[in-house]
Amino acid sequence: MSLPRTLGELRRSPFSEERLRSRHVKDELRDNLVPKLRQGGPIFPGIVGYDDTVVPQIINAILSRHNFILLGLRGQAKSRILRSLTTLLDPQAPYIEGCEIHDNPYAPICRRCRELVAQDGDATPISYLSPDERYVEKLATPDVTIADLIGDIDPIKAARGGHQLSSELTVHYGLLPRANRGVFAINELPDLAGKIQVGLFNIMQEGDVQIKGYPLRLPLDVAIVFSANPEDYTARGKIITPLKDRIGSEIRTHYPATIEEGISITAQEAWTQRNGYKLHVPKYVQEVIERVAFVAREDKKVDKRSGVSQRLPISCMENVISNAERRAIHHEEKLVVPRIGDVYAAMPAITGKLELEYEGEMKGADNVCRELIRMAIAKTYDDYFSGMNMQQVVQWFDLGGEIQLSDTAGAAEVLQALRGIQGLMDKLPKLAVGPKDSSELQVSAAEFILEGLYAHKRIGRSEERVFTAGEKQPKRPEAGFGREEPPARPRRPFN
Amino acid sequence: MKNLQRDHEGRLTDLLVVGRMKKVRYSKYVPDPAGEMSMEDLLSALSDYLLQSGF
Repeated sequence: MSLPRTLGELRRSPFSEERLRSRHVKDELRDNLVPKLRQGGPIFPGIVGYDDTVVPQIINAILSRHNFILLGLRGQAKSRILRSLTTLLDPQAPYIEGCEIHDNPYAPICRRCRELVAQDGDATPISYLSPDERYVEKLATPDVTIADLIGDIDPIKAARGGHQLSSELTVHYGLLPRANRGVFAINELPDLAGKIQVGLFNIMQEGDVQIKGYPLRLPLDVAIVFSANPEDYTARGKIITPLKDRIGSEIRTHYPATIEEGISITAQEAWTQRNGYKLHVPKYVQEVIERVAFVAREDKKVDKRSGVSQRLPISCMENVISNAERRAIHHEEKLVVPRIGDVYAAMPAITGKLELEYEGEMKGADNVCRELIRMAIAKTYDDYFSGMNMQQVVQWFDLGGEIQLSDTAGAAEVLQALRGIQGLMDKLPKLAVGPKDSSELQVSAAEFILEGLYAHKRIGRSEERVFTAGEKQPKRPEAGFGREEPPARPRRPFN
Repeated sequence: MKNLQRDHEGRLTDLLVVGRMKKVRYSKYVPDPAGEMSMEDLLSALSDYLLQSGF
């Protein structure tokens, strides 16, 4: 079906004046939400773990036609939820063609469109916006100005059009008017300067604003949504309380409540399906990766006000797989199976996502990270092997047994070494791995047991960097760095 | 690339060095009481004693 292209055609279409004139964007969000609720499907696809907590509160806010704010620490899907509000907008929204602020054809607010409709009447051309075009997002920073957000006087526009500076036609619109008839999201709201926050609540409450001293009436139709860190969102923080007062609903987000929820999010977000290799990430590796974030959120060496983003396990998982992939490429293995050692290799994906307290800074990010991984392994190991007798394996080490594994060594080579540890391979069935499984799986499972025993301080573990040699050269006398030492002279005997 | 290098034990080698490799060594657990002690735990354990001593 072709869409109406003039105001006259629009009046005779389903986009009638009765339906559109007084239908604000918040009504539209509400109208589209209600059938979704009746159908009973997910309202925000891809959002995991908020079904009983955050989602019902957002639904209530939308049904109440509120502007709302999501308060939460980093990596709690706040921006993602705000972006998914576009799924509640109409597939097409008609506006007066060429209008910078996407005016409603039946109730234009800018002078240009009012004059155009008065002049052309039913012949006024109409265009359409998709839901994505109706979503504007701005990350607040202290240097954001009224000009960025609301608008400014454009002297060139005034000169070219022969208008007074005070004329509405000289205004260059900012982001907020350009989001008219859509959703405007401001991330990290308290970072906006006080003056801008005042400008915002003027627009939200009164529909007017002053630009360079000229009052401007802008009764915008916008659903304004915000996100902020709860620490900053207090009177002691950087929020202007009158603006806070005008935000209808304040909704708190949170981190995944269970390891299983975290694993689902990580599995959904991490880039794991890579071409060329078959990948199998054992469940215990997934759990260890997820637990690193859980343990970090509880650890006193990690700053709790900053939080530990869900991006940590996502990036960690990607790096873990990459390390396993690198090993598989090197040894031309067909199956990529990450090992626990790969989690240590993924430390670059972890350290940058932790804000440390003083004690943590003193210890160093690397040491804190190692400690977190160790704790995560210990807890995961307990889930599988709690109460199981590991004495035989521990005894092998107590009697002087040692094993040295390289994180780049191929599975076949490592498996041969691991088989030498008495009783170790007998424990693998607990991880659903048997002797008939591939060597990659067996190595990964056996290494998990060793790492678990180390995490519980039953065996020792040390990391070292050693030289790898390509070929052996015939023995020569030792030489010093840089210069050849003269041949040793026989010592002259005293006396 | 032929290089004279010192290995991880400090010996001078004339091997053809192709790179350094990270290795993990699992061995008998040897407790390290000093390494396992947290300063914070130690201070909280000693706090009563320090207060009583008038420190």
